[in-house]
Amino acid sequence: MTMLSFELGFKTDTLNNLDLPVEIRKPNMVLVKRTSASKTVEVSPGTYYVNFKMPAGQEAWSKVDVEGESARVVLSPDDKEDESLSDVSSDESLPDVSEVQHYFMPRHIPPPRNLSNKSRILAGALGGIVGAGLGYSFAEGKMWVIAAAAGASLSPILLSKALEPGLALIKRKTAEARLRKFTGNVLMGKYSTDTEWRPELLKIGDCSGQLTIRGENSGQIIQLLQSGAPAVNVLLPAWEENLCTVVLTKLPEGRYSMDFHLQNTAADLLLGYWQQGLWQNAASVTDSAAVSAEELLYQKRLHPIAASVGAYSLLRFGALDRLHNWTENLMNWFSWLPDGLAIRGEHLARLGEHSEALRVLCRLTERGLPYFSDGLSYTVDRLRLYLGTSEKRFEDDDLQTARETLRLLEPFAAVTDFRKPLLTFTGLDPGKPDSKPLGRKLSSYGGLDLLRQSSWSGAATDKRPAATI
Amino acid sequence: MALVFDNRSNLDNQPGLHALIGGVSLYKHLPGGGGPPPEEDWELPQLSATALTGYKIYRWLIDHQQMLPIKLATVRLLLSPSATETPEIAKGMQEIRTALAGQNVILDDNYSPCNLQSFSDEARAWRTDARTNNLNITFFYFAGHGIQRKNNDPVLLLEDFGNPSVDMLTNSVVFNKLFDGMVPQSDPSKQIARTQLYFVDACRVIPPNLSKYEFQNISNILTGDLGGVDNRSAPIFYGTVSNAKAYAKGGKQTLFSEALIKCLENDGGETTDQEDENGYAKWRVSVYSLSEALNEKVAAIKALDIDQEFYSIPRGQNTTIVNLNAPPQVDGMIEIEPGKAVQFFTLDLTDSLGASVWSMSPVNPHPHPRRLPAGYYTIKATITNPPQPSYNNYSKTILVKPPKDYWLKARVG
Repeated sequence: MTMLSFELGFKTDTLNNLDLPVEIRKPNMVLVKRTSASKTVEVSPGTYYVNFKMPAGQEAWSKVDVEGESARVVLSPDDKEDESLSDVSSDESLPDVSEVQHYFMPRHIPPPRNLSNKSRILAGALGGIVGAGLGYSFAEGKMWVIAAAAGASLSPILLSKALEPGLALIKRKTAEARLRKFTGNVLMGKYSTDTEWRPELLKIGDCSGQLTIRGENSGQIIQLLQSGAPAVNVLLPAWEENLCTVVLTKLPEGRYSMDFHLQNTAADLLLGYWQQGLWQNAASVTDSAAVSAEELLYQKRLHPIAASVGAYSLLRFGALDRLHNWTENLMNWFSWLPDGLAIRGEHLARLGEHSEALRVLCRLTERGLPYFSDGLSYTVDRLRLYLGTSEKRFEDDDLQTARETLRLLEPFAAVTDFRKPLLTFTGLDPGKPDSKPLGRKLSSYGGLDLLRQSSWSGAATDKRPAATI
Repeated sequence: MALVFDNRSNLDNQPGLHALIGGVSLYKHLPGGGGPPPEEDWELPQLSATALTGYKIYRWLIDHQQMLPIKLATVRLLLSPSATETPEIAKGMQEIRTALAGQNVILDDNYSPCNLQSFSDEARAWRTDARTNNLNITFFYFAGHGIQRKNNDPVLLLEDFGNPSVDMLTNSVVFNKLFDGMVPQSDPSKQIARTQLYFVDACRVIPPNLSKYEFQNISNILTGDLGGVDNRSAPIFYGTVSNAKAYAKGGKQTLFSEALIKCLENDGGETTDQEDENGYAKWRVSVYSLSEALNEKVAAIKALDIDQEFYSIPRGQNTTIVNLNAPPQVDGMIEIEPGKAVQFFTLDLTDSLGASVWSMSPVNPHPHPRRLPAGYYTIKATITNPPQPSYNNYSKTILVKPPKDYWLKARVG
């Protein structure tokens, strides 16, 4: 037998330190083993193919001839054995964070547009010309003169169809977008806008910027305001001993997307696989030591938020036997962590201990909204179930508390995007969630004006750590 | 009689797969349904493909029962078809009868209407069957109108939805309650299928003015205790995400069911740790591989300018849904680069066991479309037409696997 080990061949240390899930196959595709890149595995001498897949979907494999006592295989997308990797950038100047984003960030699928092919051609041709003119004029400060002339001379159909690319360009140039931050417990109405918040955005690509956020042991919400769209609120996965980073990307249609990264790379990797629906990879990472409770809760460096990610995964994948009693420790040791309650409550419910589960879940209002959408989903679903059951199992007082807790949570659940791992909901006032779109002018809301950050401070090749705020 | 397929007598108390399938196209109380109109119709139209989709899922189970991880035991089919779907379904039921003749399976061509009474009765009977063995598998599929009361709370609308003689939502099913009703019981000695597959192929939008309706009167289809240790593998595959619509090809089938069947038959294939008698890997579709393959289908849906996004939740450990008889087939292109060199080369493709799969000289048409079984292949481009230009022979091993198409380039220049 031969001991086979792995080495990752990315450009950045961040990626090379990942405990990527890997699959070992024989040439006839028979699966030999699923393991992770940090492990050494025993295999019979022979030829093998080792595969891995990144959260953003890039997949690569390496061929290795195994003989003797040990063998080592380098795993890198740059191997490019697979033609499907042609979308992987070969840009040598790709900076660290940009490379991480490349392999972690979900690919953007533009929304469908109800235009016929003919209209598109027309729109592309005419709109492109007018748009270029408008764009140029905008740059010259003459936008309104040209826009008025264009508006007067073109028919309504052209304005709605043919000018679409041009109008999109204007929209992109002029659509306002702002960032705000809130701190506190929005469930109980105890929160405030962080008016002193002056984040520094570090450029990490042509259309991307990154900011780093220092953690606090109370709910921090980042809010993205965009013209014509509902305000989007996201619970930030940071606590006082751990930062998190937010990557803002300007999309082709002029809107911004936000991606979040935990400081714990294993948990971050797991979140990436969640978001892309890559369940096999997520399950493999969950099996790895890197996100085990032992690693994240019982070692010197505590990672309660990363541990929450691991716990949610164990719940998703039904590995109840691996949760033991450490969900109780997660709940008790971190008295500020809402997810500790959501996880413990769901764990108890899965064990059939429903009365205790109800009491635990009802305490969520003390700590605020969970950081992860699974936490809200589990809590709301369980409370609905318990309040709707005909079984006489619960105390009246507990049911009353459950009713009140559900009353507070349901408005958030109604506007939460449960596809996103981090709790993401809409509403200008994060304490009063709704799905109303904002108007065009956003300046009165304050916060960081993204339109004025078009140069994104910092440089593309700057590899210094991002500014802390 | 909804029990259209009953194979229990052949199973001799062995575990089996029990399916409950609902498909509603005809809504009696919506415009055009012939019944008294509802208090409001939320602009929901009659449908043309969802009952047929229910039948097609049944047909798929029948046609692929040898690929299921355990034997198909029962199928309960609840359909409310439109007038145009009815004859096609009747013809298909007859075909099934012919195909299964002599197999000692009890068949019934008469599916039940997908109304509250039938659904409630059959769901209970389905659960009773599920409770005969922990190793049973249950399969639930619903295609029809759906709404949400709140987020993450799908409600399935049945044929008699909107009947003005009862509350607006009385004749509907709260999916989460159905799911909760299938939980393992508190008494650990009592059994129930620990693998439960759920497919919800319906819109998930919140109708206007919904808040004025009481929801307490929605029927509890499956009541029971809150359950004991919930160690099910119970993935839920939704046809669409929260607050979005699901679509169908008019008169044919839903987009989700079409994608699902493609994934179950081919595109969701993944290798196992088993070899077949010819030395190739055995393939299967698992809960996780199906989820990933369905995700890949979303891009194709978006390309049709349709804002539908399949969504799945794993809820438990990975498990096999079907075993594939052969490696999945993958479409793709084979190309020599640069293209002007094509006349000088022979291209050979061999599989992982060295067997020749394909050879052509010169490649024509170029690029050459070719469907290949998934696997590792070695592509060789050899100069066969001297005088030799400034090109090189080329050889490389590549991986071909679903759900994406491949594109092989022999770079000879």
